[in-house]
Amino acid sequence: MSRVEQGFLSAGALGLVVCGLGVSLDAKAMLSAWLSAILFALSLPLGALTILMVHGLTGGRWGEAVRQPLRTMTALLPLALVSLVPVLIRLDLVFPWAGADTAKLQETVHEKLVYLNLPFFLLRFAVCAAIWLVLTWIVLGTTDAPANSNERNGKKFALGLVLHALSVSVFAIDWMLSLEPEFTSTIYALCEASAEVVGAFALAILVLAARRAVEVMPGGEEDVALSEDLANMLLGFLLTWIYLMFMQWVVVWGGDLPDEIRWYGMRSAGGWLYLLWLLIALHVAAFAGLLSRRLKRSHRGLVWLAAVALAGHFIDIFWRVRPPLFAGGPLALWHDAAAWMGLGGLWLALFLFLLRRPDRVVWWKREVAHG
Amino acid sequence: MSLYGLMAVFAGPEALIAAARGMRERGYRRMDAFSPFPMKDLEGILEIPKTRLPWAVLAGGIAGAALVYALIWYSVEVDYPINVGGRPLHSWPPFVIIAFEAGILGAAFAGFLGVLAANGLPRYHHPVFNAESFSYARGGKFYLLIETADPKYRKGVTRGQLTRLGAEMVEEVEA
Repeated sequence: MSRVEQGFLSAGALGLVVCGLGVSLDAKAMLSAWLSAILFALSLPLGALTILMVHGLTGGRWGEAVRQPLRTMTALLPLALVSLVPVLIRLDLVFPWAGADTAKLQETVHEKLVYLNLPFFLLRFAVCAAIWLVLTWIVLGTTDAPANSNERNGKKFALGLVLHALSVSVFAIDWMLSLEPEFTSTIYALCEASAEVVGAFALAILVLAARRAVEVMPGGEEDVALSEDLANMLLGFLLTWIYLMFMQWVVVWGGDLPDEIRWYGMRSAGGWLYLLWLLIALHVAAFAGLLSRRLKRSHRGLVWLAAVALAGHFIDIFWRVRPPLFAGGPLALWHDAAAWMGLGGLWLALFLFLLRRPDRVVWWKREVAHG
Repeated sequence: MSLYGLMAVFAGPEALIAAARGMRERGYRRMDAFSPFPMKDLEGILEIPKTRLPWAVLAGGIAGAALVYALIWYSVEVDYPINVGGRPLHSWPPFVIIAFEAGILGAAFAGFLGVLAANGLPRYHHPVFNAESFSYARGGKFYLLIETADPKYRKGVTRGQLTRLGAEMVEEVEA
């Protein structure tokens, strides 16, 4: 392990200790903060899986270039799933429908309890986790060649994408949408899936640009730099997310129903309004910047664009998940800081380690394959 | 019959580039080159300006969006104000979608028309096709055209310079 990785690891350990302290002080507040942090950490491997499987079907030089960072992200999926366990143990603290006093819930929510109940929730989560682990295993096993060798795996990836789409939908509805069981949005799962892709791709660009001169590597066509291709893909993913989020909002605005408006009302009240403006500003900046060919062809420009998109993805998840669980003033954010530190430290330490030693990803795969 | 320019024929790409560079050093500005495949080096020598099409497309997109948004605003606020579900007349959320679509349309139109304008199209005929050596039957070589409009152009002098730069043949092109 290098010194940087050790630093991240010790920061993560320290963060976990603080988290433990937080649980003993106020388990509900701590778990809520932990949930929004882990949902971000889990979104990256899930997005990486989507991109790797889509690239497995389409091919193209853009995907071969970002394959290594995406594979490393995917390999962190088990860590992210394990990090969900603390929340799984005390679901009643986080999810209103899992609490003991279901009588307090709205009448419309009572009918939803057929779906939103503990045994069924756990079963769905187990199925999703199993699907993702199998997909991780398959994807890591079939994408280790540097060149494009996806011809034989097309069927696997096509079936995998169908299962992945279903499991991400179920997961997004269970773990994010059901935090406010009175709210319904049929587009929500797609918003989450597209956000995951934006985050994973932005991080992959950052990692690639940190180590290679992407602005001079050859792109898919003559006279086009790889950096421009990657930036254009990012623009496409970003536009998909913007479109879906805007659609959800327009539909809610058009419907003008109290249960749905409340979801937006809560997220634009008080301090959350600043976060909303930050979310909008980051995405406007990323969109406008991604229109400029000069930025896309410069190393620093590309790094900035990817960093802004990744920050936007982080704010997006925080803004969607955190408000309904948040209680207390701004000082209560120390729970979040502890969760970010603990989870982020561990995540980054392992990520950097696997990035430096890509052979370990293969080793990990064989380990699973043999036992 | 007026003269459009002199067309010099070269055997290979290197000869064309050398000749274009030589003529440029002699002070010629109004010239053009033709080759069977794209040659990057010529862009710098002939001082072909960088494309401004992206700006035209951006302007077209913004203009399309603004125009359609203004049209909607005019129709709901001024021309036919009607209360829908108690919402304000100027309800921008759904209008943004239509304005965005119109922006895409405007950008596409600007790109299409911009390419035509930048290439001087539509145009039915160009004087270079009057050159015998530029015809389908004898084409496929590398050509350098010096226009008579160039201030440095002197009929005999220019022809001599082109020949000395290695032109296989120098032909007068009628306008």
